[in-house]
Amino acid sequence: MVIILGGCRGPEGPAGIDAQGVDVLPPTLQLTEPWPLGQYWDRLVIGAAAVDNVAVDRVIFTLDGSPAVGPRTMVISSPPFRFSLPLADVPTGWHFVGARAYDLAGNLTEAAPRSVWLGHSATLSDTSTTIAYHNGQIGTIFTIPDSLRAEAFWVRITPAKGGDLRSVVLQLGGVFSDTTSDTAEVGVELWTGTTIPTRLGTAMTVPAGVVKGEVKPVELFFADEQDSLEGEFFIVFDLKKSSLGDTLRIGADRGAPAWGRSGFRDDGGWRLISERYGLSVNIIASLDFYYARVAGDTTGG
Amino acid sequence: MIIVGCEGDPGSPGQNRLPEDRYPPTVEIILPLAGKPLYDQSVVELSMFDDDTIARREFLVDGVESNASFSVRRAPSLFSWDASTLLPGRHTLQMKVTDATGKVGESSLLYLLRSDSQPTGLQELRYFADSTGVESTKWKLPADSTGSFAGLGTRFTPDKPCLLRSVSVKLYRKASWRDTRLFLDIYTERNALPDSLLYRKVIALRGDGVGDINDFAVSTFRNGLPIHGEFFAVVTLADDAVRDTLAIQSDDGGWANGHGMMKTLSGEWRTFDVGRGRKPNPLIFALVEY
Repeated sequence: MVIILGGCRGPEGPAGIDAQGVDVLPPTLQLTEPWPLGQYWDRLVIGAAAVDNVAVDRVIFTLDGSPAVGPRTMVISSPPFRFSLPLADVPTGWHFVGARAYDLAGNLTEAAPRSVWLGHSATLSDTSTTIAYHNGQIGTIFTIPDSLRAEAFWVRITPAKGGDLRSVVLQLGGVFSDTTSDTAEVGVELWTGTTIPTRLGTAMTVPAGVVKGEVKPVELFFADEQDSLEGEFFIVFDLKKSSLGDTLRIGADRGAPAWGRSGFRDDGGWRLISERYGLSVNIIASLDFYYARVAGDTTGG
Repeated sequence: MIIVGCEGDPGSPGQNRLPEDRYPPTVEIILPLAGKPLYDQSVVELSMFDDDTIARREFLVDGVESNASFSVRRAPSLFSWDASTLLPGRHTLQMKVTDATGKVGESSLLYLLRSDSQPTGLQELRYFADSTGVESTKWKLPADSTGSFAGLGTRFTPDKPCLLRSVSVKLYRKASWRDTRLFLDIYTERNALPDSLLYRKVIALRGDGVGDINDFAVSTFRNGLPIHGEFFAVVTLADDAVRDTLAIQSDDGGWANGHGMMKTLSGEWRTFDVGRGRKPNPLIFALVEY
């Protein structure tokens, strides 16, 4: 008997190119600062959150579509993706901030541009400007006291430089049970701090009877002799009356855009409105802020 | 009993599951820069990339395609823009490219201010990133184990004919390194590469005991060097290659505008490209007068 066994199988051929291992997913990118429609003086900080399934290679910030501004080029190759741009080479006015993120494979994502107003504080001499972080349209009304036990509301203000607060216009209304008393109904305070109020400065009260009924503009004037305000400060307002049924109503917009500068105080401390209310709205507060004459300014005014 | 064994031919390659063209094209407007005035004639420079071929380019001026006002200065990426018909004020420029398979890439929207005048006076031309807090990269000359090049340079793209007033190059040299001389050469441009030598200046670097050199070396042209079109400022060693003589500084290449140049050991110039989308720019800037 003859048995013949044969085997003739060669090795496998090279693999074809598969989708595995090929990065075709672009990064995700979102500008985290500056705030849209914000006003920035002397320096603009641009930040972005960029994430990729493999790795972000670089984020390119642009001002008016160009990454180069004066002698600086806004290319960031490693996190944090943040750039602090001096504005000496940027003309005063409205500008557009954008960002592009590339991953290692070259996939690209572009963030929606944001418009901002850029200026130079040195040009502010013997002049008053309006500082506001809202769109002026009432869309939300807060009430003190409320179920979250809010005691006060506040707005963070960032002037271009030191100056004097002359007045503030708030949207206020209220229901006060005792209309015969001359007790102040609303208190307004100026605090200093960085991200939240930390130190009380000036405090004043609104005369009785000024705030009542429907929410409407109320202008409050500050004394001329108060100290100049340097750096960021907070304007805080609360309900002074504690009788049952007394309420203070405060106007806010719908948060388009959200400046993230409005907050409240409860028994747990100072918080942003978004932390408890689930809203990213802005308290409507418009400040008349005066910048003193700078040395060497010989223009009239 | 007979047992026979043999090895057959290798199997055929597997089937490709991805198309040849996988990515959409990318395009950036390198020039003009936002914030600079837009004159009657301005240079538009593009940086484009695709893994296939770019089949179509569209210039969108204020959102509308504009072909007539762009003339090719050097294909495929350098154009002369006749903006004389634009009214003074703000305008937008955007580039849209389409590859052969229909994938589309768009540049960022560029905001420009139309000026009603010609460029005048002194202007600084620079193409390197000067990101605050980011340390520059130092490239040793002559080539050592870290590289294979003999010189570095920058391509400059003025808006119109001008006089070159000065060139500044940021050098690095340790106090303990050898004395050396370097050539600062100005070349004309052809096909985006250095062509004819316009000017050569020899700079001597000697150990003077004051420590490391980490600064810009400035070369001035007292009467101005007439320039027509693009030009190059390049630095090479004047002496035979010896170790530890000189380093030229560059940015990290993230801007990737393609203006940085390197000279290979065989004497060829090419765009300075270190891969992964990085195209470093030597820290060289020029002062020109229109």
